[in-house]
Amino acid sequence: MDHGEFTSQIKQNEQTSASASQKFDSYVREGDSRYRVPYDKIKKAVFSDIDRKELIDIPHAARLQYRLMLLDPVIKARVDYTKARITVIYNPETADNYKEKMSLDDLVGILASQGVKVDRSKTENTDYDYRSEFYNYAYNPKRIREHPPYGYTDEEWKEMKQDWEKKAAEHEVAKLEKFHAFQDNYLLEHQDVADKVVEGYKPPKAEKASLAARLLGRKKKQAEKGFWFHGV
Amino acid sequence: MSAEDGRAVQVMAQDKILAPYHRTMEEIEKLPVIEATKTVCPECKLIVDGTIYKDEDNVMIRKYCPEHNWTIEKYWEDYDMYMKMRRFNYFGRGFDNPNYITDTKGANCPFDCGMCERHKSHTGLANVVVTNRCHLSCWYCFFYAKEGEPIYEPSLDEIKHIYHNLRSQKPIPANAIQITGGEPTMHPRIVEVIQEAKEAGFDQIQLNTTGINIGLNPDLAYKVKHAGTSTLYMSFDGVSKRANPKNHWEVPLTLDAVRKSGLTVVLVPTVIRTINDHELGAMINFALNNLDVVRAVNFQPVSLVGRMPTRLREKQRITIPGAIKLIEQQTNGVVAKEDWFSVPYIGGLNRFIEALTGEYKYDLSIHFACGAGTYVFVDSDNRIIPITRFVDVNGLVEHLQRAVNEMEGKSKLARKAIAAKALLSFNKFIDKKNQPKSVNFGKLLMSVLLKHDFASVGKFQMKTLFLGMMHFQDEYTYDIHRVEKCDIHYAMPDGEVLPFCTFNVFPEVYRDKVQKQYSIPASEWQSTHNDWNYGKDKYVRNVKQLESLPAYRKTYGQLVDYFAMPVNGGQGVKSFAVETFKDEAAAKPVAKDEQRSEGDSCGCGCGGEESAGGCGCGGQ
Ligand code: SF4
Ligand code: SF4
Repeated sequence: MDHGEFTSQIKQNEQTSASASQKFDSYVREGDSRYRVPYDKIKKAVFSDIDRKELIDIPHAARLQYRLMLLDPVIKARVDYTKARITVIYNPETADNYKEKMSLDDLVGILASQGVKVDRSKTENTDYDYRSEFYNYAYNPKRIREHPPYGYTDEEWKEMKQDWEKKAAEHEVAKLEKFHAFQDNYLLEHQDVADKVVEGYKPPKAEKASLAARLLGRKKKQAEKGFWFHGV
Repeated sequence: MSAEDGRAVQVMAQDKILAPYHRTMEEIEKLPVIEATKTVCPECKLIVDGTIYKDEDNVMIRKYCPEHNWTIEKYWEDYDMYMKMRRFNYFGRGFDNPNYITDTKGANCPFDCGMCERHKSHTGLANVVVTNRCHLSCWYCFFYAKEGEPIYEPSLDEIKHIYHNLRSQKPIPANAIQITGGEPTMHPRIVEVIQEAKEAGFDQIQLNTTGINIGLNPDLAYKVKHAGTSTLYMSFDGVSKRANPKNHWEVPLTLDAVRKSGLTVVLVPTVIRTINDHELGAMINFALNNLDVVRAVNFQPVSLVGRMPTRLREKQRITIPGAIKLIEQQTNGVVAKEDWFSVPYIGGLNRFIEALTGEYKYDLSIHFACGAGTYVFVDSDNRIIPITRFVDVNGLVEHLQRAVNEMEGKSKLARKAIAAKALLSFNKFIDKKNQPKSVNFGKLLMSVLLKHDFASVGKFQMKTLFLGMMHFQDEYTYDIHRVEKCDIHYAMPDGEVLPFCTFNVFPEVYRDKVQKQYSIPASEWQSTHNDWNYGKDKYVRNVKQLESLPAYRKTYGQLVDYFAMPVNGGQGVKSFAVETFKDEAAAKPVAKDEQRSEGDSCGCGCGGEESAGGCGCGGQ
């Protein structure tokens, strides 16, 4: 079965803002920032009344997951062979957004076409808040484990961690100062184009940047030529 | 040798290259197995067993899908090199805070990405796509927005959000970023996009560009440098026009702008057998001629993503050792196959520093088959010396790893003593007689390891060129053991992070799917960008004018052939630009489509004389 054959099983229409409900706001706002997030209240279907034999084995379960992911209205699909469970986060027909949609019946039909029979009445089909449960999680994932640096045990790391974190935070501040010093120095070194680089640029009163700024700027230039494997 | 003999030799060589594809399964199954892995069926994406086996000098992968039969592909074109590189394979650390939690814990790899908790490497290089608009229309590219397609161009706020996500990774925040596209310089706020990356704390900022906008608008070079760009990661597929139709004409202008602004460049050739594989030596020579600004040449053997005819695939396939062996031939053995090491070797150095200081360092724990590299040094007499001719890199890394193992669980003092002992015996890995006259490598390495003084490496690198190889995967070569260790990641607008080789190999469920979700439909984009249409984005090249510029004539007309010098073997490189230049001077003035029109398929200016599929230039 090729992708086209599979995805054409359902009607997938994307609406534009012009044709869809005018209520939906594609943006979330945090302070002055605005992020386009295409979904809000959607659905999560969990199918757990599955006969594991229908999933065949892990590779076939993975391929079913892949096939479900091919569908535009499916945001995430997980086919867990071990627990004989399928979870699909999808954009339902009832959702107020401009993206492609599908119904639970569509989903049940697609699973049936893949040899997995599910009882619609036993399906948990719950509301899913894409913004808080998916998007916000991905942007603020929780820590699920901790690796100490190489050569150190977990106990040693516990003792060292606080110092390291403090040092790392200081390093971030120093790095930024160095960068700003580099920028000042760069404009001084390229006076001929400085006003093109920074609109309305006026050289500082003192003819030259401080010695520290010049030294930092120079050092930065050299350091930037470090090892190059992915630029590290 | 007569022309006929020459052709016969060529045919034999070609047969040898293709032979591993044309054995019976009975013959193949008798060949020695090296190891087992997991892979996917290129047709239906079923996860199947992969067998990595030896076929004469080649390392091959075979896989069987009950529905789609056997697939045979070249994995690595040198058995000895494979076995040598394999010794340095190690598992790094994944994320302590993976962005997506799966029920399956990665059992369905490579379809559980996001990043999942099974993944074995942290982000070594983060790619952030800032637009899918592009000023070229290369025939082979599936990525840029074509007429009527949605536009993916995150706002500055959204990009800052992505940066913050990358910098929050634990235990090691992403520190190197590549701003990419489409053509990233088409983002209307590209300078701020770069500056914000610096403000977010990234140390290394690469701008992945054709270089064309920078070459034509040198002020942009100053702006992006001032904003914090470390280097341009610039497509460069050959020295000649035919091999590099994408930006051959603009490269001289770009290099000039880079030179003046203080930027640096990494040249990035995509290597395709039968298309530009004859110019690998010439590209290295070109880089040596521009060593003041070129830091590295990062060859990328082609990843044959998407379904393609078997014969074409077999003909065009080249792997890392295949390219390395051609470099050896084309540089008179100056850069030989023994001179390359795999990326995890560098991880060995970093682990030593980490164990000594207790501070996290980058892992570089990718699979050994993904990448290789070496440094070459230009000595005062123009002799080119790869680092491996005076440093026993294998021995050194093993030596440091032994010290790391010994340090585990020891007191701070004991660690220092172990480190001191390791460093004292350091010199035995350096052959002082053969090191370049103007460098004391032992001292340099000591200051890196003890003082973490990368500025000294910077000075060293002024006279060195890094040669890298990165072979991205495709459905035929796919190896799940590779992708689960991938450290080149894409940060997505939905907050997920994806390995490069799932993002691009399965775009239908990753790259295209998520970017489509977050794109702006064409009609909406057009209504908010009144003056804009797809055609207006396209670059129209004036070949005649570009070829008449002094920068063009100087860049290609005054190249020194390092390999023609007796100290470097005395055989000049093929497709050396001076010859091309002479030929061109004598030939007809300009190609018939010197002015490309908007409708052209490739934007290469090559003249489009050959074959089907666009202009036939190879289009890279
Ligand atoms: S490639 Fe990595 S992130 Fe993706 S499924 Fe495999 S282990 Fe997980
Ligand atoms: S991008 Fe592909 S080739 Fe490179 S490290 Fe990742 S898996 Fe390997």
